[in-house]
Amino acid sequence: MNNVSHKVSSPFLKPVYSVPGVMATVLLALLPAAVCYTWFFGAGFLINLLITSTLGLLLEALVMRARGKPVFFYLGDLSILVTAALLSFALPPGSPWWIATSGIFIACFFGKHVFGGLGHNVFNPAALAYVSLLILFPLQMTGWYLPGSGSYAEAPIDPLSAYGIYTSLQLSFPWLRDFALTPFPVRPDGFATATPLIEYKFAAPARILMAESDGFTLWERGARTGWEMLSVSFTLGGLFLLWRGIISWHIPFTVVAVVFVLSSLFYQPGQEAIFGSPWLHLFSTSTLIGAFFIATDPASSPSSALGKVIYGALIGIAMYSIRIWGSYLDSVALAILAVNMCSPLIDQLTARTPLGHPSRFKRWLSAWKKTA
Amino acid sequence: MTHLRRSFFITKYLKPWVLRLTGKAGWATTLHALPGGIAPASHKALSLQQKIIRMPSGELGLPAQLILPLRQHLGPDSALVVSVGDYVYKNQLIAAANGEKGVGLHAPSSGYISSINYALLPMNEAHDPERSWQQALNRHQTAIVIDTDGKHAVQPGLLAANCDWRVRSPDELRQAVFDAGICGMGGAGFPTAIKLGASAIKTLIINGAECEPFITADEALMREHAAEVIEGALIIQRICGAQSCVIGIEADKYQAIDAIQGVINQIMSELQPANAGQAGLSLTLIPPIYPSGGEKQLIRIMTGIQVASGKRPVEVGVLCHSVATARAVYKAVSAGEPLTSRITTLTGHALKTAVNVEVMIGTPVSHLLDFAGVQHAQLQRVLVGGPLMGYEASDLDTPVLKTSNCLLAGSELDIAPAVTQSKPHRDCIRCDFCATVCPVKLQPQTLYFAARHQHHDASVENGLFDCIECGACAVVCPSHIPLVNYYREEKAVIRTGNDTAQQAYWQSLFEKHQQRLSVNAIDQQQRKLDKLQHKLEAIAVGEPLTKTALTKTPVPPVVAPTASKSTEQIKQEIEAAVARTRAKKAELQKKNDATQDADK
Repeated sequence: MNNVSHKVSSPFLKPVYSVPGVMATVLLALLPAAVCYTWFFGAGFLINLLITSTLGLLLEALVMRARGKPVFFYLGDLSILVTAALLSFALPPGSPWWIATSGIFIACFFGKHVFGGLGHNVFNPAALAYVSLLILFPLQMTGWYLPGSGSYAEAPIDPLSAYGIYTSLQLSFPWLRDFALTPFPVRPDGFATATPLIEYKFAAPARILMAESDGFTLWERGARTGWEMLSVSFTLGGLFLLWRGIISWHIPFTVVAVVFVLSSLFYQPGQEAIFGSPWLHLFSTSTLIGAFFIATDPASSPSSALGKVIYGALIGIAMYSIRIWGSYLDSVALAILAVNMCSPLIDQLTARTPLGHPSRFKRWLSAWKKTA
Repeated sequence: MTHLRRSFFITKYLKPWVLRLTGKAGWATTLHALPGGIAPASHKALSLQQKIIRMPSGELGLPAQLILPLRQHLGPDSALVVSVGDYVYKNQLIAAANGEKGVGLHAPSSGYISSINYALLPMNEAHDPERSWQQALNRHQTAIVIDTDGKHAVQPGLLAANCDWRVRSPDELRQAVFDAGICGMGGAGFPTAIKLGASAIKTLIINGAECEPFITADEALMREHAAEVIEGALIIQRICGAQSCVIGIEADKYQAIDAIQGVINQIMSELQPANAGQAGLSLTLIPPIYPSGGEKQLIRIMTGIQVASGKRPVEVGVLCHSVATARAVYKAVSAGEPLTSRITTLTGHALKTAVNVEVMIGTPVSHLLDFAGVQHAQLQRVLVGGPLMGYEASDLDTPVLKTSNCLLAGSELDIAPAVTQSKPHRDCIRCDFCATVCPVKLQPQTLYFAARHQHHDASVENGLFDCIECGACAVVCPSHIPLVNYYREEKAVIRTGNDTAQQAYWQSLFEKHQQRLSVNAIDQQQRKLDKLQHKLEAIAVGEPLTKTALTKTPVPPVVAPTASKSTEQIKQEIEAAVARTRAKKAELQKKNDATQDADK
């Protein structure tokens, strides 16, 4: 327990930030993306969010009780809500309820408290839970069943109408299908998987190209434009966090820059089906939520500015490489998990030099002279 | 929530940059940005509404008692030269400097010495031993108490030295500074005469930065006594032989800047045009960022020189003095006045009137608080110094020292509420806010983990002893970890572990304790013998033996075996007990003698 055993001495100024404040700001930054997600993909996201948040708080309380810590003090840091929200963005909106349930269980136990709770986790809990789910339940995690989208061309449903919401509920809680008024068509959506790149690679490049040639109407409901708008809203949220001083520019900037440079480097017109365009890499995938919200998780990223730049660059390279040359379905979470493992080492190697001490270069030089 | 960071970028980089580009006068061309730093709300306007109030005046009377600790500076305690009952005049020496490195102490007002070993209550905090005046307070430091008679009389026949300093030699001037008992008035209390003795000084920096919130003592001084400050700076420049003298002021102190610039212009115009370039007197504006007023920080901002870790700035040819010290030097040299008063800011929202006062050193805090109309309902606590580097005056009889630049009667608006019981803080979330504000480019969270887990080597490697305890990291910590406290404790632990003298001291205390215990054991046996003897006498006289007389603990009356015994039996038992006790006492005595012999 972090009891201050000593009498408090200077500084006496009131603290400016607080952990609940930081977490609430992150939640606020996720708000535009949440609205956008619900607008394009229906109420399934809200159902997932509800499940993960409630269960998350409950699990956190249980764990804190088991660890013998004051429950409400630690629930008050709101960190589990941020994890729950980020996880909900990664889950397919039409997945059954037990996907979200097991996801938050993995995030809370294996992502967070196995390592000692908030601030001690090696991996980002949301990314860890997402990748675990992807390995455990590949079918449910990749099939996107949406109430209203391009594949329902014969009978489009407004996802936010009463019927659309009821459909979303039926998708999340399968027993509700027994009360369906009309026979329920369960069909996966071809467009809206987590990364449209998979489509490029394996299944239907022609369909995507066709959709692109139709021209983008950004506010048209449907999976074609949904990902772009979602990426834009994640960027807005990320810029808000930058403005509030919650995250520093180093990680998101390097991740985006490296992905952009790599995708431009390998981009050849006419070869979109293999390498994808820079636009697709940045805005049609989960690159931006990763860059602004998941890679910047302070606990699992390095602390010095140089370390952050190295970390961001590694994530960018890993993201692009896994996407293009790897065989896994998602690259962002995997890349972040892989580089999370390196961050303690990066931290050690890039420790700042205090003022008045010889610079890092001079220290290396003297060490090298000693060995030579 | 983010006023620290949002306004920060503008104040720290944008404004100086734009102003320098537009060629605004005063901004140094070699201005180096301070790494990190914060820009908290300054609250300086609070105490700048009125002019400085001098102490013995109609508004602010002398206190009944002046309490003068023997150590208000960095160095050995001053040596007493007065005794109880003596009458002292104002400016009379009452404690002499203890050797070359000491600082003398003078009576701020006339009166009788009522005590020479007044015990100040210790500060309730673990302070950095390097700040020795605080440590001195920690150790029940003794102080001289003067009962003032209100006459404020100067010794008759004492002539004030009044000759032009320009004709006196640097050594003479330095001796005058030494005699006046001046130490650094910015906070550390380093003896000024020692600093002035350094050779090969190129640049003299006069520190008018005063970056901490609430404190306006230096600003008020520069506004009202700019000429004295500049004169003092020139005297210091003459003593140390620096080629240039730069006065660094934070850019938001507009009136102070105008006053100082006016005096500089005047001096420059009086000089012969041929010599004007040589005087090297200039003013530099620095961005108002906390903690740019720290010595090494200011040197870096103004000259770009990084003073190596563990070294003093004089080693790289830079001398830094605060404006208050410059003025004290001026007074000492021009009028022969020792340092007996200083300008202190009385501020905080718990006061009715926040104002700068020129007070006698040794004035109890309570006297000043009463003058300023403290509202106890709103008072959280009284701080000596600012909210970031000050310390709490747990006892309101704490005197104003030569280093006390501010008394902050903090209300809830100003400072964190007083902690009555230990309060938990959250775990570190490694957000790295602390590292972005650290002016020494440390990694406070790494230091915190090292200090928390007592990894002393890791603490030292990560620069624990480079930490200036400015408190910026603790202010921005979202987990509200008292980082500076952890560093102070770790520093203390490492210092104590390294210090063999300290260990020997504790060892000797322990041995004394053991010896006292053994003596106590012998005494205990003796007391037992006395008691038994008393009983024997009682039996001889034939008094009935009561239970309470026999045994200390009352025996339950139902099982009272002694009741059935005859007097003879009791007598025999007592005699046996006497023999046993004698033997034990002799044994203890022998053991004690043996240990004492061994000690010898």
